[in-house]
Amino acid sequence: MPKVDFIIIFLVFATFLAIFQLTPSPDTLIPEERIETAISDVLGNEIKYDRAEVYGIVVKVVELLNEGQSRRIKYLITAYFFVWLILILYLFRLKQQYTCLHKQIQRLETSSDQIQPK
Amino acid sequence: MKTLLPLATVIILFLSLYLVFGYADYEKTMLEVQKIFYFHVSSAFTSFLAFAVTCVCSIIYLVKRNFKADLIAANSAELGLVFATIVLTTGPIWAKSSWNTWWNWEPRLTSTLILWLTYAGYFILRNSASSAQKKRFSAVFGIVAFLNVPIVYYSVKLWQSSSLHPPTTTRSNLAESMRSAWLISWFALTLIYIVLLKMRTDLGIILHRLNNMQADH
Repeated sequence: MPKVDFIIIFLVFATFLAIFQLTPSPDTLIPEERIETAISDVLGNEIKYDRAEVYGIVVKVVELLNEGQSRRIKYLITAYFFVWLILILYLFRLKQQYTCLHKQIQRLETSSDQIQPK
Repeated sequence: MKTLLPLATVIILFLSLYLVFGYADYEKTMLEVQKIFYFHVSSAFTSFLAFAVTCVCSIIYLVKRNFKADLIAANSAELGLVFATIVLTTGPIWAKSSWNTWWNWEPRLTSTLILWLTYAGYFILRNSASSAQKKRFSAVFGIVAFLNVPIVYYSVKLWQSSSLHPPTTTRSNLAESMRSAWLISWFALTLIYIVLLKMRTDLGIILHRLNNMQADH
């Protein structure tokens, strides 16, 4: 039975990790209006600029920053995931030993009951 | 006391997670991924502590032939191996992000792998030797294996030219928020180690008594 516990916990973790690693990072969509408002807030209305060109550059920069961030966060979560996985597996091993000990005590109690005179 | 220590451990652990993710500043180059540092380095230090306890208890066993010392030595080596496994797992993940490679045969990584293999060997020896010999052999092995720990710690200084790891003194240059988060994380992992060692040793003592009782019957 404890072996089943081990397998279940490992499978849950492995499934979670597989889903996490295989799912593409969602795009962080910033609405066009918000980007345009931010550009005009920074550059103001007095400076003349090519709206389409500046808009294109800003969108690319935002995309690049988001891509780097989601990649870094993936590594960070995976690392912490393994920290907890290893510690939880060790705790399960301890639980397995406690179960074994409990069984041994029960066996001893049964045998001592049989030995005792009525 | 029985519930106080585990409770304190859980509280300190949550506090450390808050400090790591909510308080500590971001490192300028690595940004989010640098946060692996807090549990990676703390695990390494906790494994060093565990192996030091193994070494001390092995010496005590050889001098006094104390059963409990042998038990603590073996359990501490087991926990040291668990923390070293965390180091060897989180390290390559961090390396992939920062150095764009999962593994590099540089001094710190190689010496840590050797340390892990040495303590894995400790358990192979313990399981293969006969009951009478195993305690004595593993005590000697536990003392000799500890020589690896200073090699791992000073590997960056010893083979500076080929090392990718930063020198160990970098920790003192950490920003205040980073240093507090790291110290609390280390403290949390040390408490986890103490709690698990106590649980494991208590279990070992009960098992030993039970086996003796069964043998008497």
